[in-house]
Amino acid sequence: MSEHWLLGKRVPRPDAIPKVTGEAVYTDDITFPGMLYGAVVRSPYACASIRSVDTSRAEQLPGVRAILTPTNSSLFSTEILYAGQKVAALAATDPHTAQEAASLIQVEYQRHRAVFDPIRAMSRDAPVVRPSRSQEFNNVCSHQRKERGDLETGFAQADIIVENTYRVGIAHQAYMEPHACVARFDVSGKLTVWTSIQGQFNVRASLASMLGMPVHDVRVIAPEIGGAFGGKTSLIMEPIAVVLAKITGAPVKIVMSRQEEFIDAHPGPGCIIHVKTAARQDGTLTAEWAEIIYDTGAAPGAPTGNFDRTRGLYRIPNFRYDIYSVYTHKLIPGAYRAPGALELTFAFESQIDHLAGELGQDPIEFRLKNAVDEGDLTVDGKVYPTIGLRESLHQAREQIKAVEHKPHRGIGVACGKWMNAIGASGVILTLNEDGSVNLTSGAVDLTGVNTVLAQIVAEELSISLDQIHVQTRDTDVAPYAALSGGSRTTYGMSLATQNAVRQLKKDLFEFASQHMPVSPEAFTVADGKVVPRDGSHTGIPIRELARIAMYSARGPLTVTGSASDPSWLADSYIFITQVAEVEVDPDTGEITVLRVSSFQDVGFALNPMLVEGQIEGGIVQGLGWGYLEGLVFDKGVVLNENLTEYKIPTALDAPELVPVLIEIPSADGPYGIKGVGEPSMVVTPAVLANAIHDATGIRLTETPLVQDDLSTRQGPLGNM
Amino acid sequence: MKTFEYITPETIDEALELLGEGAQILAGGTDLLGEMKRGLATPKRLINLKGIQGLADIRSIPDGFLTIGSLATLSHLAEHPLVAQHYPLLIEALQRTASPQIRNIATVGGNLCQRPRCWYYRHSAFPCIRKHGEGCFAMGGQDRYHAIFGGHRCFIVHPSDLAPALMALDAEVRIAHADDSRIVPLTDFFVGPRDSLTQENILTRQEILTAIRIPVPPDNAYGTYLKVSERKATDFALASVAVSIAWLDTQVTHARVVLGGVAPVPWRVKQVEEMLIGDELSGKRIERACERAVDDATPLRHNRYKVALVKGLLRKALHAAHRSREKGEK
Amino acid sequence: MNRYGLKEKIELRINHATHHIEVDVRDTLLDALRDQLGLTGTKRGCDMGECGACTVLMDGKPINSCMLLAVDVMGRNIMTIEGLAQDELHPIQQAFVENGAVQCGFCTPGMILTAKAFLDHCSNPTDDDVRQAISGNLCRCTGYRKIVEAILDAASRLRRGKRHV
Ligand SMILES: Cc1cc2nc3c(=O)[nH]c(=O)nc-3n(C[C@H](O)[C@H](O)[C@H](O)COP(=O)(O)OP(=O)(O)OC[C@H]3O[C@@H](n4cnc5c(N)ncnc54)[C@H](O)[C@@H]3O)c2cc1C
Ligand code: FES
Ligand code: FES
Repeated sequence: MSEHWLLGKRVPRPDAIPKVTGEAVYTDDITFPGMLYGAVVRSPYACASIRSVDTSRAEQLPGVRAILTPTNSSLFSTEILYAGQKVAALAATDPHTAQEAASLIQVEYQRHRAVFDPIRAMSRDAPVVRPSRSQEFNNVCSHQRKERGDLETGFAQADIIVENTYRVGIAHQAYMEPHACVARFDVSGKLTVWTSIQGQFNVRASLASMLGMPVHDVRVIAPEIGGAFGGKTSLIMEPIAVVLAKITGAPVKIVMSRQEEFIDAHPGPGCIIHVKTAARQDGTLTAEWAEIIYDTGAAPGAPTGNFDRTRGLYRIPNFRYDIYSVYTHKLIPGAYRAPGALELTFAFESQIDHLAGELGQDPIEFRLKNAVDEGDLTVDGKVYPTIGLRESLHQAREQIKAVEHKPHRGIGVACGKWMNAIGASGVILTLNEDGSVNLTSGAVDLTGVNTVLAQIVAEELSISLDQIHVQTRDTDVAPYAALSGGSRTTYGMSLATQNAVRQLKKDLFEFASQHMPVSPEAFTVADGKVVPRDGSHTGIPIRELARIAMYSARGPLTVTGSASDPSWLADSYIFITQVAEVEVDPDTGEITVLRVSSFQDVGFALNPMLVEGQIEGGIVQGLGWGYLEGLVFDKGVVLNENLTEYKIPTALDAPELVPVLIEIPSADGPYGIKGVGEPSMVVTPAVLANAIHDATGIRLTETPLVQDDLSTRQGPLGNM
Repeated sequence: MKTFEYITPETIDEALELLGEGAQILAGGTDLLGEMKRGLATPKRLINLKGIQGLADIRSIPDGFLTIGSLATLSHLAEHPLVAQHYPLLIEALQRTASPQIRNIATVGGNLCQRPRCWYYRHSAFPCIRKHGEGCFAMGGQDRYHAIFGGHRCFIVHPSDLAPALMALDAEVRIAHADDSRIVPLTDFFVGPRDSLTQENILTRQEILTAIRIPVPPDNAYGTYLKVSERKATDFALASVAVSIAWLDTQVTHARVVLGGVAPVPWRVKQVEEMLIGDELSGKRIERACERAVDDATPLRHNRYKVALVKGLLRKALHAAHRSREKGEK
Repeated sequence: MNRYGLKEKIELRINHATHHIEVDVRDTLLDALRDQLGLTGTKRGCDMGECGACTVLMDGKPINSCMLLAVDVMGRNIMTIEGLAQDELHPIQQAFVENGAVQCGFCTPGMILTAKAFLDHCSNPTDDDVRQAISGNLCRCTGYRKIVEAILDAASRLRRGKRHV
């Protein structure tokens, strides 16, 4: 049915081979003779001033080479704004010595009053973390308002109003590979940094500006990366490693411990959402109001800019949303897979379910009644093109019909939306003398993008896949690529590759027309050959043309391809409906998630196996955030700073997964694709909450959905 | 981690001689190494017991006991044919303990002697009373995983899954000391915070746990171990229950009920055992037993749910026992 | 009786070869494998026995190499991921590649070794058996579905392979 011969096929990732043999090199696998190991001292207090740092005992430990403190390095401040903040660092000859030395550094703190709850932090008498952007409230980091219509009228028209407060806990990306980096200066003063990062070029830019060096004197190499999910987008240990390498003259490696990951990386933010949604008896939504308060910790970091990217699923004529981010004395959040989407979806899709229940309407019919269509407006007033929301709801409805109803079981449904970015993307395409192709990319491969780029090149040139070699190279070699995030990588890089390979074809055709009596426009490729479309000539193998070109006046066939979009986001609307089936133990209240089905518009699946992989992984992450995960604090200190107490799902917790791919081509995406890296997880907590409600009659409004609510759930459950 | 001297003695006597101030026993190391990496344990000398012949053996001896060397790994125990035959309850407990990899290293003795998992105790930022510090941070703090029974100035729960199961089987432990060795019922092995705020069992620095003995269960006995944890693997119990019941006809003649994850020691509920003995296991009786089990619970701010969990688990376990007897009758 | 101080020369049997190395007495097997022997296929995800990334086989059984001292494994047979493939990929490795069970790959070596030990004893497992077996290996990328499928697929490849011998 497809017009493609290789696109849309389940092609395995070539990079899986070195990964299954253990040969793949990750940052921590890199060592150099004479390399030093860094370690960091961190504040146990959330709000304090440093009175003194005594390094004398650490200095005496044999093997310690350099110690950085607030006194001798601008990397450290004497003002502590969260527990886990870096206070000092050192380099030593081996990891044991580095750790021991860190434990010998004595820091004297003057503690201050701290504030941890964002709502508390907004009150006028709360301690000031950073100056407020608001006249009215303390500690406001940002505020935006989205509105349309007239709220009062909207609520006045309603027959029913549902009002709830939802709380979403801080969730860590918990990639399996902790952050690692190695910094080394060569004799000429050029810096090379190996680091576990989603974007090499943004690290290069940040380091160059920090050091006042031109970008070409900084080389950033991203080896294989052991998962990121948004958590490896900005500098974290690199500056310290670089400064230590500079003063010691030796390469320095820093690997974060799992504990350090939990206390000082950039997890998904905590958020409190107070929302009121109104509808008429016939099920028409009339108004919605919400106040959304992000906990942005000790510095800006909460993803508050994605409201339109993830909401606007229903026609609501009157709305007002106030989005705040508020400073507290806690670690600084960042991006976690579809940043901003999961928490909002949890709240708003719980609301929809709640309303449908109050109105006695089927949750799918209720959604269908209000769902946006082509021509409707997004929250920010853009016009929707053809979208897949209804289709995903229809498919979910069929799925639900087939589910057998049993006692203690519940079915939940929820919808979500996301939009992918494009981002600056460049590739170099070289035709080798044997007709094989090298594609050089600067984009870190998180999702299998290099596999897909190979598919595109092979497809376009009609040569076999094993002739295409796609490699991510470092900042000294590869063309610029924005960081791999925002579901942009396959989208942007495919565009660039499509441009490059089409250019290559053009060049090939031009060169071929020197060897065949055919004009360049009349050529096509088939079976690895350049042939005239009209069959007037048997054609010449690309392999042959490559070789001739190389030794002719033409020279090697090499092209570049680029893509970008100043508006960052693509015109690509991804809608998803998920269905979850859960079972609740009537004696203990234990929840077992039996199955999650996901109906996601993917535009076009270049490689369904990889797309499914993204969706399956995303669902289980969403599940984790929904019912197992969340940092627990006491006085701003993370208590569950390990993988036993911060519980990510095991194979036994993961349910049966049914990823269903809906293909409604995007307007501007190459081959009609849409981003698939992030959106799968955004709906899962909502769909779980709705399923638990269906099973128990209890609406949980706080993630993780189980922990504190177990007790309250017990009463009613006992009578189930 | 501070450096240490590492010694592998070949006999118990050698090991006992090496014990003393600053020395610590290394069995599987799955708990101890974690404590050392966090700076909670700073032994100057590690005495590795793995060099001692026979200490990992599991054997049945003619007097009707199963004897488990303290160094037997959890997986070795779980796979032992005698265990499958007589003590399926142990297998249930072991299958829910830690992860397959940990079970291949962790020992039975180490599991009984493991230190608490309280997140304040394990955290370097909280100098709690169990670390010779100031008090219990769970009181008034994040206490959802803490004790609802037997707390007193400290509200840890005993983390072992094996301990309640073994206790329900009337296990005993053999303890070696330079002067003598003694056998102690497992019920007397653990100590709560009223007796000690810094250790969880009766072992002194001069002693080694060498073996665990379990009698053959009475005829017609049924045992089960049920555990609730937030995650289905590699997770400690929010609450667990080990039950062992025997009948003569329909009358309960023997009952052991031990709770895990809810008290600083494996929590035997004698009052429930007593009310079960001598009667049928009817639905009504089971309900009363469940109420009785939590009579003296004193939940903290965020762990009232454990009361409900204990009731739910016990109800499930006793119903399962009842069903098994009915099946046996047929 | 063996006594060890700060630094020790030890003998390790890894992937059927004997290695003599010097370790710090505090080094775990994981440290020794990665830092002394350059066998970096064994990964460090937590260093606390919680994630399974460091899984190696000791006398055929999966263990967390981060929770054993290097000095404590003398005389045992260790297999790391580097020792699994002979001339070509092991059927489990093939199945992982072909079923899309590898994303970032950080959990993969440990996952595969756990699967190897498991399939050595259980030739015809169910979905749930597989999940029990890998419950000590965390994977954050895949949601486990394709890993379970790969292990089931590997089991049937191994059964077919046996029949042919
Ligand atoms: C990730 C993870 C998850 C876990 N989950 C669970 C779980 O779900 N359920 C559960 O029950 N446990 C769980 N555990 C704990 C685990 O079972 C214990 O760590 C293990 O049983 C300890 O045995 P070991 O042989 O490794 O002891 P070691 O670590 O060697 O020793 C533990 C302690 O006991 C002392 N000791 C050991 N043997 C003796 C002896 N013979 N005589 C005197 N003292 C001795 C040691 O000095 C040390 O203080 C988990 C552990 C980890 C790391
Ligand atoms: S690194 Fe050993 S279990 Fe995680
Ligand atoms: S593939 Fe990334 S953790 Fe498993």
